[in-house]
Amino acid sequence: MRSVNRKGKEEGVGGLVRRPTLWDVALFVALFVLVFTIPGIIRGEKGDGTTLEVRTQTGVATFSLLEDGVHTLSGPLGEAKLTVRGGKARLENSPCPLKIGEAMGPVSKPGDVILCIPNRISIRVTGKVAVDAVSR
Amino acid sequence: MRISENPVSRRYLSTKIIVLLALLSLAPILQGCGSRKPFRETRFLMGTLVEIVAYPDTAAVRASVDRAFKRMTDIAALADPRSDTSPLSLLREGKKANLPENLREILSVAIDTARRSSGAFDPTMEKVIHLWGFDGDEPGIPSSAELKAAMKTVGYARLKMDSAGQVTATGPVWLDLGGVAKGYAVDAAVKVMKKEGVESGIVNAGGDLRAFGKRPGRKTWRIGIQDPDDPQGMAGVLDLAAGSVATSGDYERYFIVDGVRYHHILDPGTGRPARSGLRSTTVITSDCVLADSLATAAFVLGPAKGLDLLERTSGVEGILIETGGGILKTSGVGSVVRFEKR
Repeated sequence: MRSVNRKGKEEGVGGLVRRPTLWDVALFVALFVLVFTIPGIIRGEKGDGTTLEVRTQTGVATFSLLEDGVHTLSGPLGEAKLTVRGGKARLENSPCPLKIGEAMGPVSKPGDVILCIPNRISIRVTGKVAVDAVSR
Repeated sequence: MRISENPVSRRYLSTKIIVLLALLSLAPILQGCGSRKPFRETRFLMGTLVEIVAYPDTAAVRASVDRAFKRMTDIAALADPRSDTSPLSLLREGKKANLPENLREILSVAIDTARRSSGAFDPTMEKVIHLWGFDGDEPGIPSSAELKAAMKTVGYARLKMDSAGQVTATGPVWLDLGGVAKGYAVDAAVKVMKKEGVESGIVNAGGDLRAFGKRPGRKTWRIGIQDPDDPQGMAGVLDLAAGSVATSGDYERYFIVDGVRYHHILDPGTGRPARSGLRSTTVITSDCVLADSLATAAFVLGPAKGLDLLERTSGVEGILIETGGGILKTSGVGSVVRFEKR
């Protein structure tokens, strides 16, 4: 069904539907932000993949992946070096017998992990990841 | 603007502005009400990194997570294979041992898995594991004579446990319950949190994990499976409503001598690292304690027998990654649990 208003312009079905105005668009955008974006932020993990969360037996520290540097991490077996270069971090000079942490290679993406269990060191790139956990 | 010249339109416009402002002002309120942010805590425990993620992040949930960690710590102490105060130490001297309920349950699952797998999983391997140094000491290849002597202490069939929890063994038995105690501790932690009203979460002990409740914001929990060839990669992703996942792989603890990889999953038949043609086995079932022990057993058995063991065990699904990279799945993978290869 077509209808025409007093100015002769065509309106929608039975005059109930009309062309969206700028304010309609603004309302739609606001609703979109509320419904999708904000809950996403609420559920998401803090961090954008540029921060390293480092746990040792003495506590938790954070380092930037954007700043090159060498950090000394202490554990019960001794000191290991966390080297950050070009947005990637790796564990070096680990005193652990099996060197599993070193063999885990560089980390750069959210969720990437380096674990050195004997020396009680864990390094994780923070940020929203696609999975809830990894079975290793 | 022409529209504002009309009083009706002006009122309509004002209403729209008010609605818009009201919606935007609701955002902080909605953040508080609808927040499903989890509480996440990580501790070094049981020779691995244990992470508990629990929803929602409230003071009560945080307190419950702390109690769950304490429960895991107690179980770890009880199952410590080298503890002189554990009742397990009596078995090393060939004496009878009265086990508390926790140890009884752990040992019961261990013996059951040993029987199901015809000894591919064996909880009496402690001396052999210690000889290889995989329990934390300097690892290395033992001599054949040392290995032969240690293998004389192996044999789950020598263990007898009655319904009252009294365990007897023919000769000294050195138990290593690491292959089941970790999974049992995960189950116990989940039990604590569920009893205390925690809605949902994951307890992950170095990759042996259990998810409970509904994952806020999604229909399922997404669990990645480690790529054996890439420490930072995933071989696939599981969609799990709830339940446990445990993986055994040759990349977890190993050392390399003359280009040969010696890993920590020892074959009870030889006392040496299992060369079964598998890189990893992942088991999906309700209880983590069962998943944990079956993953080890299936790894030792290899592709055909390992898959058969998992198929024969009720309520169990599995994914096996072969040395060449092939992926084998039990018949329920795809229908009972969704697996997406990466």
